[in-house]
Amino acid sequence: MNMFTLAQKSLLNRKSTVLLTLLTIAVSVMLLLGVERIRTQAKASFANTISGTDLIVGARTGSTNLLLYSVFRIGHATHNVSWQSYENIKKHRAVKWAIPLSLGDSHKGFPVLGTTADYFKHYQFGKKQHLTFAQGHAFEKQFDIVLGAAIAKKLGYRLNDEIVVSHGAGNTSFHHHDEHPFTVVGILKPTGTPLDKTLHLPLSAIDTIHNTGHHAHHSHEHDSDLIGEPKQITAFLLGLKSRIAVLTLQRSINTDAKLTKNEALLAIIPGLTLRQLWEMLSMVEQVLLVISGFVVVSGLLGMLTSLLTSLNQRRRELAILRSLGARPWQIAMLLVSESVLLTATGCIIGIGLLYAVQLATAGQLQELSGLQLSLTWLTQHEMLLIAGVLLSGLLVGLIPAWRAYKYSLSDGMSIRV
Amino acid sequence: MQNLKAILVAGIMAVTPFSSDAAPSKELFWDELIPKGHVQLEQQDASSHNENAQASWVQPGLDAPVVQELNGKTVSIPGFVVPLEGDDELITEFLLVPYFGACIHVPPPPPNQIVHVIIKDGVPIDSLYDAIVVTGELSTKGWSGEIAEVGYTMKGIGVAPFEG
Repeated sequence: MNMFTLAQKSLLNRKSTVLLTLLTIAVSVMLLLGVERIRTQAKASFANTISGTDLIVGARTGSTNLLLYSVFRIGHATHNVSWQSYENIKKHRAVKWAIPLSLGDSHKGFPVLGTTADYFKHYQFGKKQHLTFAQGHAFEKQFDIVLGAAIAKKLGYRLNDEIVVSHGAGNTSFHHHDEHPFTVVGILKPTGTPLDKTLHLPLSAIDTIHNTGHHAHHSHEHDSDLIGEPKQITAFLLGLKSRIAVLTLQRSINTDAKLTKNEALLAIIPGLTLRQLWEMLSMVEQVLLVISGFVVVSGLLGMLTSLLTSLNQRRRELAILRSLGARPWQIAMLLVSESVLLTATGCIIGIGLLYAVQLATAGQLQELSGLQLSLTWLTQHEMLLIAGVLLSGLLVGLIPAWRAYKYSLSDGMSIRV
Repeated sequence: MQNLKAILVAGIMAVTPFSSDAAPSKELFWDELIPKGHVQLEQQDASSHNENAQASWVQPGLDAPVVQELNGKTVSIPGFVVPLEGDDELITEFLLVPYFGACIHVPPPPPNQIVHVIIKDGVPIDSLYDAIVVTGELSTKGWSGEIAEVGYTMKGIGVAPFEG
């Protein structure tokens, strides 16, 4: 009889403990893979959010902070940028395009972004992909609004629906500006970035929703004015004619008083700041990996405990096997195959659990954290982790195997328990 | 013992990138990117000049000329990386600079001391603090045609850690 079938039959005889052991291993494997999956995919989705932008300019703050609030809509700006500085820097000879961003308002908890139509032309994500419209077009009039894919889906908005935008960044606002309903003119295709949750308005509209009393002068003559006369914006994105000029212009914005009229501004290179963020977070990542690694270790230790405790009760079984002609090393092999079988089955159940949990919680996870986890097949990295678990299972199995080997040598055919 | 040594040496040769069978690429140093006879403004001069001058926000040395002969040459240049594009693992586009990038104490290097590297398939770069050697085909063509934006671009082939 094959060693594995024998091990399988023996395991089936001890169903309850085996089942519990399997569950421990399965849960620990699920946790390990789940943590790794969230870590890598969160990082990937972060890295995919901005591309093709050479500099982000905002009020002077931490570079990570500027990146987080301007691109990822995480946190808030501490200060604004004057429109004058934006105009000055836009005129710099190295600048090809500039997109103003005005943040801070919300609609039902979703961020509202005031910008120009250039945003849809120049903003890139992923690997230099441009924004595309699922329906409609970019805004052309002052009260036009363009929705991210996730909002349109979540709130059930369609083209030509009318929306009221409130002042402030909370879920509800007590200052609704019912007098300025916006019309949905475009819905963007999903990008898998925070953009999906953003409402895009013309810059001029941001001023309008803040000046409730003066709405009377927004007659139709001003309808096509998408910029208006903003005094300040939150940040702006710059695209340069040549990427070699990035460092020089960054330096000029950060230090040159003439260019910025003494305004304290900060220019960051998104790719560099993102890298710095990774390097900062790499310790947290390591800790997460180590913790889930230890969960797997404790799962395997649980298996070791149950194998070792059952060993004493199984001395009779081992003696019978010996009397049937099994050699001590074959007894040892039996124990190793048992633990390998347990670990392998545990891994398979764990992977199944991972997919089940991911399917069940995908919606909530996206709503709560904006994290989109894609249901991908196991990556090479994950395969390696599983291989590591299997190998540790095999190594752990060597301990009871050695014990059994010793027992079978000393006990022989007759045991005195 | 002699045998062991031979095996070791063979092993090291095997893992060393750009071994002799690869196309020979010229190792280039940063001052070779400045045309002979052109007096590059010193960094320190540049910064002090910058603060006093009237039209100050155009950095002096921005119109630094490039060595046209290097166009189309396959070379290796050591330097530091300022990442521009890429995903969470690979960097596909970066600036190669002669000293640790984006240092806030000194002005950035003039355009002829920056190489804009594009590597199609991307390379993993573990730490921005470590110097690397980039091999690739150098081009001196600017994109926009304006003098200020002319600089070196490189179609990257490979990247190796710098062992100085």
